Amino acid sequence: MKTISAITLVALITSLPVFAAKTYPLSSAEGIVTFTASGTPGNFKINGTTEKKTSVVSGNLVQEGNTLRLESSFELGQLDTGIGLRTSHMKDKYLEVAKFPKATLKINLLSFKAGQENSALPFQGELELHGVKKSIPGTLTVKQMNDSLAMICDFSVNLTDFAIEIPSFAGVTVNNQVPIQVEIKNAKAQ
Amino acid sequence: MRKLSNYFSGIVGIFLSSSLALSYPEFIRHGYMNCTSCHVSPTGGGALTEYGRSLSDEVLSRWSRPGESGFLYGLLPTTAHFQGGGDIRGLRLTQRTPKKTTQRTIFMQGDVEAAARIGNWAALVSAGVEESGKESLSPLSRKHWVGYQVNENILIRAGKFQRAFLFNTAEHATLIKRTAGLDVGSETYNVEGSYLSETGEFFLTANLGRIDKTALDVQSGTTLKGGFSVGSKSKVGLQYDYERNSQKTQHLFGPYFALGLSEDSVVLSEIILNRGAETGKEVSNGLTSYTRFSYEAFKGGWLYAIHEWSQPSLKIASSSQVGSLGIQFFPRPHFEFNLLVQRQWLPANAGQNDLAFLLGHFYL
Repeated sequence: MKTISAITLVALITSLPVFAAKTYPLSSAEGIVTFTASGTPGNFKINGTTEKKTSVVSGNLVQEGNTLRLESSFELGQLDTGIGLRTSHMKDKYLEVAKFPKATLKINLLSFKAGQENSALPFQGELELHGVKKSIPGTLTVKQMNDSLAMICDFSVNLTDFAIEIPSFAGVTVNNQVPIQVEIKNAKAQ
Repeated sequence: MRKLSNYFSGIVGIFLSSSLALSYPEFIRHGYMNCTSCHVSPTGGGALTEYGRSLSDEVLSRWSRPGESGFLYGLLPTTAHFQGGGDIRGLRLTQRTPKKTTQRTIFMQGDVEAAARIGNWAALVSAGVEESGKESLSPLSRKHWVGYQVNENILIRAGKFQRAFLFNTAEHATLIKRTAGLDVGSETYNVEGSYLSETGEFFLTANLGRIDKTALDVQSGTTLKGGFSVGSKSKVGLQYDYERNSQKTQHLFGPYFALGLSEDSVVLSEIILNRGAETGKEVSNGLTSYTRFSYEAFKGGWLYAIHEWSQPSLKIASSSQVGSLGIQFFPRPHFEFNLLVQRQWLPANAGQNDLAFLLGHFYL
C-alpha cells in the first residue's frame, strides 16, 4: 500500500510541470506588427509596419495546460507607412500617439483541444486603442517549437469604434475597417 | 523580315509623336494598385488628382516644398471638381545604326488638360500641338471623354483615349507596344467600362477606331483586361485585344504582372501571344515580351533596366531583342529627366542599333 502511495505521489509530482503555467515574455521575442488599410479612389493599400526586432511588443503569453492567456502592449509610435507625411498624419492626426501612446490587447483563457495547437483559434479579446476599450474578435495561432513559441494574432478594428477619425486627405479616404496582424517569433519560456 | 525591321525603323518616329499619356505603374510598390488615386483617368496618365499632386511632392520628387506640385504651382487650385494638367516634353537623341549615326533634338509634346467632375459625371479634354512636318506644328486633342461613375467601383466612359491594354509606362517605343499598335497617335474613340476594386481590376473596351478620320483606316476592335491583387503591392492579370482594319486582323493575348518586390523595387512584365494576318495572307503566331525592373536608389532617383524580346512568327526562328538601362530623376515637382541607353539586336543577324536619349519633361 505504501509502495502504491509512493508511486502515485512520484507520478503526481513528475506530472506537475505538464500542467504548470509557462510564461513567455514577448518583449524578448522577435516581433512585428503590421496593418493593411485600404482606401478609395484607386483602391490603394497602406501597409503600416514596424521593424522586425525584439521589444516591439511587450507583455506575456501564458500557457497553462490547454489554455492561453495574452496580455500585450504595443507602442504605436513604432508604426511606419513608408511615406513620411502619411506616417506623420497617422500618428499625429488620427492615432494621436502623443496622447495615446500605447495599444493593449488582452485575451483571457483561450482554450484549445488536443491537436488544435497549430490552428487559428478564434478569440474574443479586449483591445484598448486611442483611449477606448472594446471587445474585439480575432484569431490566435500558436506554434510550439522545441524550446520556444511563435504566435500570430489577427484581428480587425473599425476606426470609428475607437473614436479615430476616418483618415482622409486630398480627396482620398481610408476604409473604416483595418486588418491588423501581430507576429511573434522565438518567445522563450521564463 | 520587313516587319521585323519596321519595329526598329519606327522607333525614332515614335519619339516625334506618341500617345504620351504616361503614368507610373511603379507606384504599386507603395500600394497604389490602380491609377485613380493619382490620375483622373482610370488607365492613368494626364491630369493629376489632388492626391496625385501631393504624392508628387511627398514621394516622387527629390526636393520639394509643401504645395509646390500644385497645378501651375498653385495658381489654379486642384479640387475634387476641377483638375488641370499638361505636359511639355522634348528629347535629345543619338542613334547609331550599322550605316550611320544621327543626332536629333525632338519636340515631343505640348499639351494642356482640364478635367471636371460634377456629381457622378466626369469629363476630360486635352488640347495641344503635334509635329506635322518639318518645323511645323498642328493642333490636336489627344484625349477628350465623358464618363459616368455608376458606383464607387464602376466607371463608364466614352470618347477619345488610349484603350486599356498593356502598361501605361513612359516607354512608348517598345516592341510590345508596336505589336499592339499602341504607338504613334494611338488614341482612338472608345466606349469603356471599368471596374476597379480593392481585390482587382477589369476593363472592357469597344474600340471604334478613328471615327473622326476614317481615311486613316485605324484598327477597331475589342479589348479585355482583368487582374487581381496579390498582397498589397502586386497584381497579376490577363489581357486580350482584338483589332482589325482593311489591312489586317489580329488577336493579342497574354498575362501581365506588376510585382512590388519592396518599397524600393518593382518588376513590370507582360507577355503577349499575337495571332494575326494581313488580308489575303497566311495567319501567323508570334510572341513578344516586355520586362522592366525599376529600383529607387534614392528619393527621386530611379534606376531601371528593360528587356524586350519579340519573335513575330513562331515558324521562323528569327527574333529581336532590346536591352535598355536608364535613370529617371525627379528633382522637384513638375520636372522629370530620363537618360536612357539602349542596344537593339536586329533580327536575322542584321547587326545592332545603339540609341541614347536624354528626355526632359515638365508637367504643369
